[in-house]
Amino acid sequence: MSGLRTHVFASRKKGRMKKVNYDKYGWYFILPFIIVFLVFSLYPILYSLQISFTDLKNFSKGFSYVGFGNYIDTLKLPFFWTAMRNTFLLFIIFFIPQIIISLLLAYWFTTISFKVRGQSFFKFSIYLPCIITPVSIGMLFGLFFEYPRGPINTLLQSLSVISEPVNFMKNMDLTRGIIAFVQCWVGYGPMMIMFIGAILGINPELLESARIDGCTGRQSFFRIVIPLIKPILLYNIICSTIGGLQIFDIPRIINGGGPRNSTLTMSMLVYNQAFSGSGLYGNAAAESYLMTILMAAISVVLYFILREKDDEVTYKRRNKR
Amino acid sequence: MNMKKLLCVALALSTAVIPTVAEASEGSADSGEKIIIWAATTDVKDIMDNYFAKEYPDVPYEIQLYSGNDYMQKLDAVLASDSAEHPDIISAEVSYGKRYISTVNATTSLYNIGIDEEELSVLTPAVIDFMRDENGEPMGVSWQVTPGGLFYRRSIAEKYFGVKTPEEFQKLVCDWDTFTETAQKLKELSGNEVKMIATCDDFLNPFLNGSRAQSWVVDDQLVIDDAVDELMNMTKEFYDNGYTQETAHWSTGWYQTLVEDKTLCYLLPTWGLNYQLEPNCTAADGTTSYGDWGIVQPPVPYTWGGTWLLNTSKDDTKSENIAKIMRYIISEEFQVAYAQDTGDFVSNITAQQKVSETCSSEFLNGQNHYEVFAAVAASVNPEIQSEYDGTIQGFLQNAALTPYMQGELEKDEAIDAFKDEVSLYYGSDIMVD
Amino acid sequence: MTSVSRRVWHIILTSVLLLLCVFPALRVILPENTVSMSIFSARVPSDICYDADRLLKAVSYVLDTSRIYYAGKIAVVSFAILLVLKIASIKYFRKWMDIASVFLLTAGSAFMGYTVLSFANLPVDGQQYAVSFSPVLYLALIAVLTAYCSFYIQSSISRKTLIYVISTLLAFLSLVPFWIMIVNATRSTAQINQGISLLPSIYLKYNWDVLKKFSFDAVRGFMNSLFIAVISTGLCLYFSALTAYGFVAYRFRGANLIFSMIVGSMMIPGIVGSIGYYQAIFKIGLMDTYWPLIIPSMASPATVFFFRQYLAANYQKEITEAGRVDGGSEWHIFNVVIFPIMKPVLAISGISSFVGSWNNYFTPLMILNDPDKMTIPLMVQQLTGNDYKTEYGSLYLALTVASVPLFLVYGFLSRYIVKGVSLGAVKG
Repeated sequence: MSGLRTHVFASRKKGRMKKVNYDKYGWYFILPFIIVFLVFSLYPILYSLQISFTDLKNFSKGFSYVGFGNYIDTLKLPFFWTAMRNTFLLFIIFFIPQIIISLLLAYWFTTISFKVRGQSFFKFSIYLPCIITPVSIGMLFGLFFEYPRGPINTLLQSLSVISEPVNFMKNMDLTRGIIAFVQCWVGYGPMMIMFIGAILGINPELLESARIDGCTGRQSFFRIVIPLIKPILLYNIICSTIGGLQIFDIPRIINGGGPRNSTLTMSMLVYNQAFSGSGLYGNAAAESYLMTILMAAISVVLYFILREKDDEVTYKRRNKR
Repeated sequence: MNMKKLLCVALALSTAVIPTVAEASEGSADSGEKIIIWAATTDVKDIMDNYFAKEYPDVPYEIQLYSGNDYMQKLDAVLASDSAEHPDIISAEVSYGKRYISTVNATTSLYNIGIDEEELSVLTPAVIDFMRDENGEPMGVSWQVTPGGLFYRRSIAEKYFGVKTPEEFQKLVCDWDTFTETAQKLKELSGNEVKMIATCDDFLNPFLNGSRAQSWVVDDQLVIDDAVDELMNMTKEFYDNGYTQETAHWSTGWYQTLVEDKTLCYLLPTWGLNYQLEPNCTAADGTTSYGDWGIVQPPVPYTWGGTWLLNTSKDDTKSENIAKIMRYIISEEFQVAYAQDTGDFVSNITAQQKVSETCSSEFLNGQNHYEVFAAVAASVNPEIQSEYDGTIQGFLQNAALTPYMQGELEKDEAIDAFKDEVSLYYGSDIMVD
Repeated sequence: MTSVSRRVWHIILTSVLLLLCVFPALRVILPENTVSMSIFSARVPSDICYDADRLLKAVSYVLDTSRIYYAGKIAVVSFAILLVLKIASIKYFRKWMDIASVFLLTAGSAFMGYTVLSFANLPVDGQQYAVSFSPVLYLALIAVLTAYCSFYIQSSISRKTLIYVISTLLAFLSLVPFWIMIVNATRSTAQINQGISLLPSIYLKYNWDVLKKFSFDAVRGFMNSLFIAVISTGLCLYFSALTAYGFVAYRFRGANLIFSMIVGSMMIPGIVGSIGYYQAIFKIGLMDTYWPLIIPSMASPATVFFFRQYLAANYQKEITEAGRVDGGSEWHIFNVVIFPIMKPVLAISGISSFVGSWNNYFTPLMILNDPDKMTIPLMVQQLTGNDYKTEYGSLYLALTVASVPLFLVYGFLSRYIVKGVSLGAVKG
């Protein structure tokens, strides 16, 4: 240790220069990241912004600026509103059950008094669907719900729930239901694990003292646990909302937009306009930016709605440490 | 953790070898002499590998086959780039081929590689006319002409109508009115067991590529011909009256109807015979309808599909080899051999006549299908083809026809949905009212 | 509700349920050619007249009416036992009695529901269809059931049963589709069309040959995906650690600004950049190569964020200073000292990065043309074309093959994955 001391004294003699020197290394360390980030992430975003103000089509070499024309065209496009409505509809149908079920399961698995055994098996199997490629899952369920002889049809017929096979993919509501179900099925696993992690981070003494004071399980859950995990809950909800409004893989594979565009999501619309032979890059870029504005607005709104009693919570947490 | 890391690194290094090996097996990436061909169907590969390579073994070529749905997008990307993979020949169907001639402007005239009109005159004129640009220069050739016919099951025709020969049957389907009458009679006579057609999709091409008199887009404006209205009426009538098996083209159900004895007519073109009917007329358990078929002229002459090889080369050094390929494709020897092997209807006029003399198909109980197709081929009209046909027809079927047929939309709603889709896809390229 | 009145109420409910089953059985036998609901005799009426059209569409085993009768009998028996249990009200083995009651209740209702629906769905010709019950009966059954169950929830033992039941149901719901996928990969198309089976069959080799015919080169796709995933994971981990260390160990102007920009970019939808990205890659001339798939993984904001959180908690300046004393360059310090510290988060992030890269569908879809270069998700997507619609066995096999590596990774490393997600939850 004395060697260290000498070194420190020695560096003091040289003055402050050495410290600044070391800090410069910070730049070197983050430089590769910055370069790649600028080139492959930031530049495309800004380039898309530029394209959204032009009428770039396919691979033509030239384009001209049309100001906000693309944006106005997009807002006038009925498909845009259809896609937005579908996206929100699908999102609400799958997100609400997802949150409820994952919170419920997290509550059950973390409440020690319930003594649920075999938790690792449950967690293992519930988390599995989110690992598997969404494309494969989409195809798998597309095959399951096939008409006339997909597994679901034969199963329902053998259980006599239906008397003749149902063409799921021709029915708008059924297709939406199936896609929402698959998204929920894939998504509630990681959400549950995240909630479990968050709940386990709460000081057990708090819950113990609550129980001694006579709190029932349900009361302690709603009045203590949920407020304490609010930051994580908020973060989770906002991230899931942003992700959930962008769903692309699964709706695309299951019926590609659905019967008569009933499952066309916003990402699919942008993709179809840009990459699916249409080549209308200007319009597609404008649509994607409108999507961004929408999501930013929603995130801000959610943040302010759910953030209310924050001071109280951070105070409690700080106290716990 | 160290072992795992080591394993990962070793795995990574070993897999780094794979792409280099892959590239080596394809031959050098700097193409130099190789003719690069892009194709979406396997018959192009068959022709090149089994016929051309045997005749000209010293002409190097490479075929890239895309069986997915985004052949056109990939083509767009690669044609716009100047990479070494720029294809010299592309295969394009009639529904989108013209797009590569005009909008994408990627094709080179055949005159530039030394093929002139005289050489092309051995083909049925329509074949070349389909793929001319606005100056009238030819851009590609095809080994096939694809007039449409009407295939029917002999046993069913005999059982319910007492007809024994195709000529007699022709009278029952000589125009749309008699066709509909026959459908109704069939339903009554068979107690609704046997249907006239397998799918209402059968009507698409006879109306849209047979009766249609105008191009889809005139002066950048979408034009909806009367044939569309007739098509919708016909489809709805057949669907509502139960004259159809309600399957879809190339679906499991459709293939099943080929084996069973419950469907009388199929409106299919030349390639329908060797590409769809023959390979799929036998069920897994051995029951087959092979030999129970006949062919007559359809109520309206029409054309359906067809694959062209377009010249997209930007490299003058390859002109000679490309010309060799083109000339071979249109040559009589190749086409006669190909027709005899596959039964496809070829485009070279002398080849047609030669094959027609001796042609007889066992599948059709010995009938000479070349005669029937030749009669229809004379009426093929390339004028109404545009570069938008493929996508517009797809939109019509999915957005308008199917919902209208199934009663989900009224006729004007269906047409509006169709117009919306076209306007979404093409933006300001096509004006829709 | 006192326990006595509750007991009485339970008995009343059970009797009602039993009557709903037995009453139709006491009906007068209807004249010939009708389907009778007499479930105590296993008679199948001699000349049931089926509607031809509906018969064609019905799956063959629907016609086995004796099965329906047996199901009805089981339902009646379950309810009868339940009734006996309630009346006897045995004081011993309370917990097991409760569990048995719930089980009998569920079984009875399920079988009863099955019987009712089966009779309703028999493709009997219209006029001869004289089954006496109606869906209203079935709905009444359900309503009674729900009321019954809600009385049960209040007791804690049953709540635990409920927890176990629901968790097991959800766990099986997550596993069963994959099991069916694997099983169907070994069956032929004809077998698949007949129904679901939980046991594999013998057509694996046949399906594999058909796949080869479809030019679904699983091995090639696997190698491609592996190559891309391994390299991009390696790059991602190394450079994200580098960057995170840079933010934590050094204070330099603009550090916070840059970091917030990075985090902010996580909020922008992926598809916004994709259009510009596509055009940019096209102009650079890197279309149809692996570079656009690998290089961007060097800049992964989420991983940097995650690593930074971890380092902020586990790193002290003295470590670097000790390293400087030993005379190493900054980079040497990083490689030898810091990198090993981060092993736990490296493992966790490595797994999620690997899986993310393996499952990446959008970018390869845009960039890759050459069929030889395709990754597994692209190859699976190609199978949605119409050419492949008829061979279901091979389709399931292709899906299985595409998912096997993920099953393996998950099987061996699930502990780390789960730990990683919950770590992220606490920090984030």
